[in-house]
Formats: sequence, C-alpha cells, structure tokens
Amino acid sequence: MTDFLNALLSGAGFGALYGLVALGLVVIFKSTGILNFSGGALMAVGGVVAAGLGAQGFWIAAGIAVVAVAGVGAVANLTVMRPLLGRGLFPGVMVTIGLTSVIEGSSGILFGRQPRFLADPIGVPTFQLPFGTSMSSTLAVAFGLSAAATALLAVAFRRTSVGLQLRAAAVRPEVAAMFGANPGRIFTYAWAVAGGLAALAGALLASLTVADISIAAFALRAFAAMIVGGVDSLGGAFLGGILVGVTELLAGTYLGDDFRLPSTMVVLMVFLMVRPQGLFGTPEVVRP
Amino acid sequence: MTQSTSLAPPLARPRAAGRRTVLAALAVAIIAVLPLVVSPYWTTVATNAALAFAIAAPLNLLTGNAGQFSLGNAAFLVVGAYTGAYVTFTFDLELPIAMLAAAAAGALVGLIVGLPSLRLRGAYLLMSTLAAHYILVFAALKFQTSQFGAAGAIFPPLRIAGVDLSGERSMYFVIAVFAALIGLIIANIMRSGHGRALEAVKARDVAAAACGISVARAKLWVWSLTSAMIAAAGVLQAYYLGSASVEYYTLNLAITYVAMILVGGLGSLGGSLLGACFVTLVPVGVNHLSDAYGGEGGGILAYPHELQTVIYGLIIIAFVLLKPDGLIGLVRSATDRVVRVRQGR
Repeated sequence: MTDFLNALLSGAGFGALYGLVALGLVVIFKSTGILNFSGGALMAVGGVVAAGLGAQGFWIAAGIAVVAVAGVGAVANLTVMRPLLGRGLFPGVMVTIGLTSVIEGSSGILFGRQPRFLADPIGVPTFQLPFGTSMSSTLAVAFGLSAAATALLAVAFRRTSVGLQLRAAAVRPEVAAMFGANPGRIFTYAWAVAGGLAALAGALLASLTVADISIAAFALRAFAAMIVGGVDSLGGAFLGGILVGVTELLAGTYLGDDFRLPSTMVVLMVFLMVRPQGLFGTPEVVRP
Repeated sequence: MTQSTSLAPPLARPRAAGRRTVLAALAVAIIAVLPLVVSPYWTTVATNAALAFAIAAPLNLLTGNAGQFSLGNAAFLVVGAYTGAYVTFTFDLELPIAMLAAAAAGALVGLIVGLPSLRLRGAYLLMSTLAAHYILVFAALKFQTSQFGAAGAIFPPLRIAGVDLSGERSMYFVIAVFAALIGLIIANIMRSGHGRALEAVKARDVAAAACGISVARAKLWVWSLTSAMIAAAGVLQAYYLGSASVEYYTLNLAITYVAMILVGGLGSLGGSLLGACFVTLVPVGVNHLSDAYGGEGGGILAYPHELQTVIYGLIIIAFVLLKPDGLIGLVRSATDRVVRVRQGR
C-alpha cells in the first residue's frame, strides 16, 4: 500500500514535469501546427544552464535558464521555423529534429558534457506524509509550478489580447492578420513560452537528478502526455502528464525499472488506437 | 517551346531507357572496381554507405513514395538482427537463410506496425511509430537478456557455403550486392502498378480508392515489404558490426535514415543513394578536419563529436528550408541544364 501511494505521489510529480514540456508542445502545435521534436533538447539545455548557475541558488538559476531558453525558442522561430508554416508535417518535424541536434551539439561545445547538480528549490529534500509515504520536495514544487503554469496559460489564452490573437492565428493566420493580429510575432511568443516551460522542467529535473544534455530523452514522455491529454488542450497536457507519470511509476514499482519508458509508450499506443483525440482534445475532422 | 514539350514524352522514353542501361552498367563497374583502387579505409566507408543505402531505400519507398512517415526503422533493424541471430545460432543456418527468416519476421512486424496507418494520419501516425519503436526495442531487450546475455548477440565471422567472407573487401562485395539487389527491386516496384498505386495513395487516398486501388491493402503491403527489406539488412549490418546489442538501435539511428532520404531526395531511388553517401561522409569529413586542425587551441575543431552533431543538424535544417527536393534535385536541374544547352535552347 505504501509502495502504491508512493508511486502515485512520485508519478504525479514526474507527470507534472512531462506536463510542463507537453504544455509547450501543445502551445506550438495549437498555434503553428508544427509537431515539435526539440522539446527535450530545450528542456535539457535549460537544465544545463540552470545547473551551471547553481551557485546562485535554485530560483535565480532557474529564472535565468527560463529566460535564456525562451530566447532560444524565439530565435528558433524567427530563423528556421517561420518559413515552414503551412508546409505540412514532415518539414516541421525534420527541422525541429535538426534543431535538437544543433542545440545538443552547441551545449556540448559551450558548457561541456560533464554532469552537473542543482540544489533543491526549498531547503527540505523530502516531505514525510501520512501512511508512511514521502514525496521529494522538488517533485511537489514541480507539481505546483506545472499546475500554476497550466492555469496561467489557460487564462492567458482566454482572457488576454495575445491569447485571443493566438487562437485566431491558429485557425486562419491570414484572416487573423486582416483583423490586426500579427501571426509572426504571436508564433514567436508561442515558441518563447514553450522554451521557457521546457527550461523550467529542465531546471527541476536538474535538481531532482542530474543535469547533462542526455536528459533530453526524458522528454519523450511529453509526447505521450500530449496525445493522452489531447493535442490542443492545455489542461489536457497537464492531466495527460500526470496520467503518464503515474503509469510510469506504477510500472516501475511493480514490474521493474526497465518497464518505465515502455509503459508510457504502451499508454500512448492505446490512446492512439482507441481515442486519438485524447481525453480533452477536439476530434480532428478531415475532409476527404 | 510548347511543341517540343508535347513531343517530349514519346521521344524521351527510348532515350531514358538507354540512359538507364548506361547508368546501371556504370554503377556495376564502379561497385566492382572501387575496393581495388581505394585504400581499405575508403572501402570501409563505401561499405557503410552501401549498407546505409540498403536501409534508406526501402524507407524512402515507404515515406517518400507512399507518404507514410515512420520512425520505426531502427526497430525493424533490431527485429531482423535478432531473428537472424536466433535462427543462425539455434539451427546453424547460412546467412541467406537467416536473412530470409529475418525478412519474414520483419514483414510480420511491419504489418502490425503498419496497422495504425489505416486509422491514423500525420502527427498521430508518426507518434504510433515512435511508440512502436520503444515497445519493439524493449521486447528486443527482453529477448536479448533471455537468449544472448546482457552483452547482446555476438556474430561469428561471415561464411557462406564454407567460404570465409569476413574480410573487409569481401564484406564490401556481399553488402554491395545486397544493396544493388534492394535497389533493383525498388526501382522495378516504382515503375510498376504497385508503385503508382503508392504514389496515388500518398497524393489523395480517396481519389486512389475511387480509381480502384485498395488503399488499405496498398498501405499494409508497403509497410510489410519495406520492413522485410530493412530487417534483412539488419542481419547483414549485425554481421558486419560483429554484434547486435539493443543500445545500438536508438531513435537517433532511426532518424539518421530519415535524414538520408531527406537530404538525398524524397521518393527517389537515386536520392536514397546520394543521401546515404552524403550522411555517411559527414562524420568522415569532420573527423578529417578535426584530425588535421583540431589539436591544441583548435577551437571548436577540438570537439569533433559535438561539431558533427551541430553540422548534422544544420544540414537537415538547410535541406528542408533551401532544397526540399534534396541532392537529386540538384542533379536533376544540372542535367536539365546540360540537355538544354546541348539542344541549343
């Protein structure tokens, strides 16, 4: 029972991290229709930058990493992503894969490949909870930050002018432009947001385990989170992340650690087969 | 001008057939003579390029011609390698039989991985191949641990009918013959009704169905066939590398082959060849540069591995943005220009 509850708690925490990255994927997919494969690299480079600034304490280091990687995202959109709008799936996927390679290689040249560590966000390493359970404080912080980011973005999408412009530009960029929106700038914001969210996840992961560029592979679960939640739903990304994280930790607890990643991929496959629009997404209607 | 374009097809056909024969003869000659004139190092590079072509060409048929974007090819390689290893070790069979067994396993697994393509499209289909990659590699890991031990399958030196073929030069010939065979099969498929059916399915599946093509059958057929070819290549690759272990079959390996068909040119056999050569040569070139200038104070050349990663990424981005039809597009526009100059236009 304690194992089960621990798996649930840690799973929710890790799931919140996947949710953060998935949130960025959803924002980009929702606005530009591009399936972003560079989320993991953005996350990893965020973790590396934050850990490099580890002497400043977690919050300042994470803040600088978020701003820096948001800048990387914005620059990526301005330079290589913008010409791809409306060119379909393959070019977007391939350019973001190329971007992953460029980011990983540059990070190796600029910061080296040695693993780095980052302090906990709050002084206590773990929280002792009832029924003999415990939760890493970093995971608890991750859960809170991820929930807050989801709520903030959901409100921003509905209530702010930029959010409205983004939703309009996502449906019909040309028409949105006629009504005064600037889709190019809006998509740059979307990429900056995605970069910032990924960097936040990277910083949290750095304080949880270790930061080097190889943690990029960790973010593959974000794809599962994105599909499970529904590719166009912000809240779905968060809840999808939790579902994926809990599945992963339960599989790790009861089947063995090597089942962790495959179990998330099974969840992804099951959702694709049974409910491709995910829990909260809108079904895609394709005109034949 | 209009007149010459309307006359072009009937005139072009016999000429193109003649040119094709010349090209094929030239290719055979180059393949046969190459290891005799270049150093062993470049023979190795050529072997790697031929192997890459034998994997990239089926992938290009699937993705470039039939429009099924897949990241599952590394998983098909491991399915092939382990089926080949299992039948070789258990029944003591020769390489060609092992490759046929691997192809059968690849066809079956490809059929299953292709099933989602009947329901899903675009990003969703791509995600399903991503999931399939990890599930298959995990299954291979379990198989590896139970059958071959933690280090993976160690392959013996290659012998066919008692002849030792494990030398660098004989490996080159074995792989080049296999690659040429794959190329020949795919070239013929692309010119057949099956190939045109795939193009039709890619362009618009509803219209293809209206023309009497069974879309489901065409899709499953191409998934199965290309997976079988990739799995057979997997056996050869494992023999060439000397061992097969799950750590080798990563998502990045799968992406490498997608990068080859992108750089070479989607939907073109010549493109697969050019892309396989180009992507194989990138690390070779960077290593040469780094060996020559990357010593003390060599700047970024002191990081050959990182530099390779960056250059590889930049190449992918540059081709998507600047040359979406790939290297074969460059070749085509160059030959068109030569033809136009010769005809005095």
